[in-house]
Amino acid sequence: MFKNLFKKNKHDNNNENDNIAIPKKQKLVKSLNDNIALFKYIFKDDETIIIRDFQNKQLKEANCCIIYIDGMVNTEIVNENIIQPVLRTDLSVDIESDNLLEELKRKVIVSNDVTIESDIDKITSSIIYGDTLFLLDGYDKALIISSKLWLTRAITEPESSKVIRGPREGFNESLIINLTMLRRKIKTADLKFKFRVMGERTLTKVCICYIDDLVMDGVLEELEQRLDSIKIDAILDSGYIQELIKDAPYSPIETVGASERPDVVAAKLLEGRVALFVDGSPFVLTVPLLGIENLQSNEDYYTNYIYSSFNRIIRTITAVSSVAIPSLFLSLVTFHQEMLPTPLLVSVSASRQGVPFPTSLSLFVMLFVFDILREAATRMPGPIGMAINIVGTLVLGQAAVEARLVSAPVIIITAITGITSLMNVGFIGPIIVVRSFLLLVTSFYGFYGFFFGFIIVVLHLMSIKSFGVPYMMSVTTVRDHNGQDAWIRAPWWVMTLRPKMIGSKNLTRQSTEK
Amino acid sequence: MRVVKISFLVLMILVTSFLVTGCWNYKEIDKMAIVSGVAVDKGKKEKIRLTVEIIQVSGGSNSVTSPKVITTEGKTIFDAARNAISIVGKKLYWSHVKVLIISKELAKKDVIPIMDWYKRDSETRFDVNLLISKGDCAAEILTGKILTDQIMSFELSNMIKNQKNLSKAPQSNMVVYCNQLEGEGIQPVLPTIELKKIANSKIPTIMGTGIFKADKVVGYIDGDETMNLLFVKDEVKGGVLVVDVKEKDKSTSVSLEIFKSKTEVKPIIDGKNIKMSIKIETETAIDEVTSDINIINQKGFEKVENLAEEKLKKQVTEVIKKVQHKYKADVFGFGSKVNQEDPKVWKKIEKDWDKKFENLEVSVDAKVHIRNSAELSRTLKVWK
Repeated sequence: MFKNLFKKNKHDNNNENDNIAIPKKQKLVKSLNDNIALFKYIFKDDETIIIRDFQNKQLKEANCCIIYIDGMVNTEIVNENIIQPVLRTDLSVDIESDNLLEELKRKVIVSNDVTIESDIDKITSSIIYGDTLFLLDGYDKALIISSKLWLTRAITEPESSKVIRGPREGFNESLIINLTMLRRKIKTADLKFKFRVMGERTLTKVCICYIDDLVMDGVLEELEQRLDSIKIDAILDSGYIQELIKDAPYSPIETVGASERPDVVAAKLLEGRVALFVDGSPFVLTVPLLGIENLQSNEDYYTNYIYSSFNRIIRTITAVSSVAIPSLFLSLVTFHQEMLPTPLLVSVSASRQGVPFPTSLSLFVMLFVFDILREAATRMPGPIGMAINIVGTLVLGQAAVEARLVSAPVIIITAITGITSLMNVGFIGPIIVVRSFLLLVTSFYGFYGFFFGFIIVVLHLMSIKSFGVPYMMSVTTVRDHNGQDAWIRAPWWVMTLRPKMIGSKNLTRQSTEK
Repeated sequence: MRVVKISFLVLMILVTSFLVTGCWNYKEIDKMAIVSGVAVDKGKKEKIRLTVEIIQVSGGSNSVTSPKVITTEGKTIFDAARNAISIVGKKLYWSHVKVLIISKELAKKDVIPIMDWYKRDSETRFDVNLLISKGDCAAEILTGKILTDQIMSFELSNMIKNQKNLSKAPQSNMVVYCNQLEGEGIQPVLPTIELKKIANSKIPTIMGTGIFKADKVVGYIDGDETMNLLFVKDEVKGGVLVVDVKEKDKSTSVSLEIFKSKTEVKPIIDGKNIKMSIKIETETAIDEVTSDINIINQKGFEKVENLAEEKLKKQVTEVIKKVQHKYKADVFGFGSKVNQEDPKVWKKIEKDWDKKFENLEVSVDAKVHIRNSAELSRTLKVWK
């Protein structure tokens, strides 16, 4: 049913594409005025285009024109390296006038990147990227002179993942700067960058990045194939690609990782993974993604291994409890009261006196309200954040209990669930889905339902693969070396090998020879 | 077609999940009456009179729990229990029952009707403490004066739990009792409870043992005798042994605190003759000396040890004799020991074990070891 829906949408998109007028194939001609008219036609109704024509003092037949887009070019380069030399140089001397364009390129224009081009499509896209087009009267070719100006955000610590110990830089929206940040981490010629352009309208630059002698070849091929099959018109963030190349499309579980940190991406590349940079997005995708990666933080590797292992265990416990606590509470309180210690039973019973709604309903509602608060706090502009705190703590917590709308244990359970799910912000989505599912089955079947639901979730997790690698790999292992970096983080001198499968091309991370 | 199939399946699952919720016992905690203790008496009109103690909870930030005792009658216990709904309004919830008190009168006839329902029902639990009321009415105990807790049954269950520091009543719950009831060559015992009048209020006291023969109570022994019984059954975990020491013209009482005790019961089978040999080994420490006789030395220890051994030996023998001749019920489990030792012999004598038990020759050997004298290494000296 859903498939049909999606197919229909796709079809509609195609129809729209057909309606847009594609400019007819045009060619550069020898007349400068005709060429200028051509570009005026291509960029009509675009007032950011700037066309500036000028003439050399000495050589009167050298009529020139430059075309660029305002704001996309570095005006200093245009003024001092293009216009000034062409205007001032005595072109009548020392220049073979039969191939003036070539001579200008070789002897006059001061730029590191100049190409002669005649293909109108390429020229157009270069102008759009911020290059300057140089036209010369009498030639059906043109010079493209690199003059791009990149205005980028400063490199700051990413808001989504802060650390106490570790590098504080995060990716920004510029692809080139992101690649440089990675290159500065891994200084080897084996680090490969493969570019491609995706999105029929946005023409977004995408870069597949890997270390040649470590990468899983199968994963690389599979990634390229999946990217080839994407035919979307726009890619505004890596999230588009993340969802389009996902392994389990209908599952809430992500099988493609995303990180904002160069050190994280570098570490993943060094284990044999493939990274995918998308221009305009600070989030870099990595494949394959293992389930356990959600519970790992880059800081684990920078601090003492005992402390790191402790933190990982906490993350695991909170992840599981955030999924299971509401349903366990519900089944204990409404199905299996015999399992509660008597004093607890009495105190829970006392808190339930006079509360009108059933426990299951109030749990659902309170968890829903918590998610409303969370979402509101995320979207809310900073200065009014305080209001959320007041509403959350006073109105929904204290007042609700005092007014006997919900019982106090339900509030406590909601709070614990909320805090534990916020500890794992990276996969809060799947947590909410699984938690609601378990709560639903539990409210009908008690522990019986809880365990069946849990089995279903575990089976699902076990069946997922991320680019051919089992999603739950190294979760069940304790003995082999994959277990060294799963639930706990072994000391660095122990982790001499890369993870199995992912790093199988070259397993040795630390040479054990002396 | 596949879509139809799947949506039909989903619909089925949804519908059934809504339909079977009733069977899955979704019950709100505040909608049930939590029973903490039960007393069973013989009814006036019907067969059974059931008295239950319900925990009454008043909600709010400073919640108070208070007991409420209600009485119903019925043809069977289950009948009486369900009749309670017409009084309480809520369904009684039996999983947290701490004590089950059986009246003297019922215990004399038979206890099977009570035990069967309690073991069979799905809500009731096996770890309930069983008590026999020595007074006329078991229900009175639940309305007695509560000293330390808010709920009588909780206090009773604490009393039973802490009996291990006293050893004057046996520990018994439904599992232990039923094992003894069904076991070969052993008769069950249950602790007894009675109301004692102390300063105008009736306070329940757990002390002593009810001796069963099959499913009927045949007699009672008091607290001190119970301790000796427990020595034989190897169930002493603590308690006090008081020894009187005489030296020259002075006499003193020494209290020994029992830390550890182990009893070995071994049948000696010699053809048709069966003898029981009981070896008690107890570790104690002196915790009290009531005069200034100096016994805190090697010699004194040995003296006290010998006296204690003799006393223990005498007392245990007396209790065994009393049970053998007066009640004729093998509560010590001598028969089962024979069965363990030699099943073939047991098969032959099983039928007339009652007679054999009556005339069984038992030799008791006791060893008391004094570890230390607690925090004082001397006696208090009085200056003259």
